[in-house]
Parts: sequence; C-alpha cells; structure tokens
Amino acid sequence: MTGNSKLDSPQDKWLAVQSPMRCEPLLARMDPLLREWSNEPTNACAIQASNGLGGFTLAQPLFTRLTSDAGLSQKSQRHLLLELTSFGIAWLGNVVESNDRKLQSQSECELSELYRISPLQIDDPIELNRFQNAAAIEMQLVGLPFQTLANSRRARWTPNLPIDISKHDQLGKKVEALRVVSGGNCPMGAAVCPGAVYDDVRFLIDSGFDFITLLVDVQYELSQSCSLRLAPLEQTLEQSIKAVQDSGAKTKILVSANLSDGLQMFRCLQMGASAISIDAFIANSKPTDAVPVKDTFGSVLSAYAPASAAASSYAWIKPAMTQLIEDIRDCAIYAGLQ
Amino acid sequence: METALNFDLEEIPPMEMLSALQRHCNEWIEQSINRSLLPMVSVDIQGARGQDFVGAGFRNISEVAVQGTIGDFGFCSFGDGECQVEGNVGHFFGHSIASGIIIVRGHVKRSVGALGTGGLIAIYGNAGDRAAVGMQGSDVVIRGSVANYAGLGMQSGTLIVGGSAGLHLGHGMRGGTIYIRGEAESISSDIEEHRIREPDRLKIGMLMLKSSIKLVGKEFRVYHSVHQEE
Repeated sequence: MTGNSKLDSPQDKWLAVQSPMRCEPLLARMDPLLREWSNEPTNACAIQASNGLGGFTLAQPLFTRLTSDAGLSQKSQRHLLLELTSFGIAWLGNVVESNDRKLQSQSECELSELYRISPLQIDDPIELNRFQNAAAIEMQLVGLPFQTLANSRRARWTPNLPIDISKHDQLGKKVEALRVVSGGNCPMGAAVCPGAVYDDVRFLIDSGFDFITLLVDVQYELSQSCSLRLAPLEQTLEQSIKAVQDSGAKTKILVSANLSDGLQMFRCLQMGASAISIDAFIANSKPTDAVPVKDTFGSVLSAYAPASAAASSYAWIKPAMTQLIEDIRDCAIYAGLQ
Repeated sequence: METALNFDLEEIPPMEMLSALQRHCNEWIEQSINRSLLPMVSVDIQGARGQDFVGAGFRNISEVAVQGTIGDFGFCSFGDGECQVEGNVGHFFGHSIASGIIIVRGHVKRSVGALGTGGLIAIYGNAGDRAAVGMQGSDVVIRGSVANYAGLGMQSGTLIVGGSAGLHLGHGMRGGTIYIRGEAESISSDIEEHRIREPDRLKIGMLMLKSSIKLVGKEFRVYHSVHQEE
C-alpha cells in the first residue's frame, strides 16, 4: 500500500491535511455489490534486494525494534518473538539462541529468522555469523563509536556514518561489499535519525540502500513513556518521500514513530511509508500488572518462575496485535483502498 | 582430501566466485563421511586487474593465491585460511578480517585491516591513510611506511610499522599496541611511548616470523593508549 495517486490534486491534498485519513471520493465507490471484499491481508510490504532476486515480504507492514533498542534479556526477547512471529512482523536483532527447547521449537526459530533484520552498528565489523539466514541487513547510522551510553540518552541516537567511512563514495562501496559477503540476496537498509532529512535520504539512496528506516521516535524500554522524540513525524516523512520520488528510486521508507493505534499507522502508510514500527503500540498496550521486565526484584523472581508463567507475561501481545491489524485493515476498507 | 580450484576474474565476477566456492564446500561436506571436517580447498585466482571485492567472504579455504592487482574491499571478512597476493591492493583490504593470515607482496591503499577482529595481515610494501582503523583484535604488519592516522580508533590488536608514519599516529586509540621502527611525523596525544620489554620483542619476532619478514624486535619503539586500563 503506497500513496494513492488518485488523491494527488491540490484540493485532495488540502483535504488530506484536514482529515485524519485520505479516502476515495463517493464517485469512485459506485456499485458496492460488484466490488470484491477480501478478508486476506492486503497490507503486505515487499522489500527487494537490488539484484531483484532476494528480499522478503511482510504479511503486515509492521516491524519492531524492541528486540534491539529496548535492552530486553534473551529470555524476554524470545518470548516477545514467540508472540510476534506468528503475525509475520519483521524484527531487528541478532540470532536468537534456540538451545532451550521449552521456550522455542526449531520451526519457530526458523520462522523468526524469516523476518529477522540484522543490525550493523557504526563500529561493528562485518561478521558472517550474524548475517547468515537474516532476511535483511540494516546499518544503524546512529550512535557514538565504541560508547556504551544508556538507551535513554539522546546522544545514543546521534546521526553518524560508520567509523571506517571518510569519503562520500565509500559508503556505497561498503554496501556493495556487504552484499557480496552476504551472498547478494539480502536487502540492505539504513536506520537514520532525521536531521537534514531530504539530503540524508538522497545520499542513502545514491549509496545503494534498498530501504531506509527513519527513527522519528525510539522506544528505549518496553514501558509506557519510555520513548524519545527525535523529529516531527509529518515533515520528516513528507521530505523523505519527496526525496525518494525525486531520485526515481524504488527505495522503501520505514518509520519508527510513537503511533499508538491503527488509524495513526494507516495515515502514515497513506503518506508513503512502507512499514511502521509497533514499539510504542506494544509498550502502551502492556498491562500495568504484567510481570516486570526491568532489572527489579520482580524480574529476578520471574527468572526462576516456570516457563509457562514467564510466557504468560507476554500473553497480552497477541490480542493487542490482532486488534491492531484488524484496525488497519478496517481503515483500509473505510478509505476505499482495500 | 584437498581439492584445487582455479578462477579467472576476467570470466567470473567476485560474487559468483564466492557462490561457487560455497557450493563446492557444501557439496564436499555432503559427500564426506565425517561431516565435522572442513574441506581442504586451495584456490588460485588469476586475472586480477583491480576488481573490487575479490576474496570477500572467503572462509575455510586452506590456501588462496592471487596474481595481480586487487581493488577495494579485497578479502573483506576473511577467515580460517591463508592467502598470498602478488600485487598491490586497494582500499579497505582485509576489512573485518576474523582469522587466518593474508600476505600482500605489494602496496596497500587506505584503511587496511579496518575493524578487523582477528588474524594477521602482512603488507610488504607501504600502506595509505588510516591503517588499522577501528581494529578490534587483528594484527597488521606493514614492512614499509604508513601514511596519516595510522591506528585511528584502535580498540585492540597490534600494528607493526617497519618504516615511518605520517601525521596523528594513534589518534583516538583506546587499546592495542603500535610498534614503529622509523619516525612518525606527529604522535597523537591519545598514545604514549612505553619502554620496550621482552614480551614486546617476542611478539614482534613471532609476527615477523608468521609474515616471513626479516626484522628484529629490538629496533622498535612501542606505544600504548593513554586511556588503556592496565
């Protein structure tokens, strides 16, 4: 689902600014009996590698960075993935160990690998083990080199190029090297905190990235109000979409933003984003009486709890995600874009 | 059982070469009785005329021999093998090297051994700017001289320079060791000279032996990071 070309006239754009979502006009909705209404998900996001051979398709235009940004323990990460994997949601992180069969079966490991986006920090070497079986590789163009700052610090999200890049054309070469090393079938992405959005997106497109993740808001803990706002969403998305259109490339734009319901996410998708992060939604949906996941006495106790008890601490995710996906589909039908 | 493979870079690009190697290794493992053994494969690469990404991703290759000049990102993410290059190499040679030994009988451009985590790279000629930038455990031996910003942001590992160095030697270094035999145009305030001791001489001697270079340890000066914890 991308920006609808039918709504590109100046009047439509003005209406889009005032209304919560852009909808097809009534004249385009004649004869509803003859229209086909499908219950199948139509919000897939397909990210292709530049060689056209590799890539992956998300069943939902949704992804999460909690597995990388929120400082979750391995156990918490596995439980989170168990809940999210069944929805076909992409996740950012390294390989999840599957040596504990009680927590994750082999098939579930393979399923979670299907949607794994492997991060590469600015000071990380290119390690083959991390990229094997990953669905995509995403360079994290944020952070200070070799610094372990608390996730909640804004400086942790400083825009920066990798430490080995000292000329503008070297980034493209490094992306190409990554492609060669990973076998050529992995889409390459870049996560960037918005600064000079238009220029940055153009530069990243010219460097050969297949998708760009805009970190408008970051969720640094799986907890309400643990979110950092780094840039205004609408202006950032607008400039990045313009950059993509001006370059003529097919680069996808993914957005990590503090969006807490299906309507806001759908609006973002209509503006041109290809996928939205669910981090803020998950954090805001978490019941306040759930087992704490931070380093507290409660979390220490839960570490010794039976697996079923620990797993149930994430049981609230599935119904929340089901509702979210239904909401997004609902909005698509309402807008006449199903 | 060792097998030998020959590639001509004028006929097969580097990415396809890597795919062919991986297929060969996988077939070997499938057919072998003991699947825990790694295949003994030696690779001979001809026709190198400055192509980029030659040898990138090579792992578990017992011997690699390259005739000619390599472009950028040569032998990126190399591991578990030995490689000899008879010619010059481009930028980012040996980027992210994990293990193994690479010997280059020629010169190298900037950022040799960048972000390397293990293994040894030996350069018989000179190196450009930013040799061993961000290195995290590899050993880099340059028989000739290095240009500016050698050892930039090194975290650990060893950089040995048989000749001289340019400006800002060791800038941003946080760990590891630099041994230099000649003079540096300027030394960064992030490093300080230490008295060379017997373990240093032994280490230099051992790395020189592995690199087949004739230099002795007593002629070197040694620098450590001022930020390094003892």
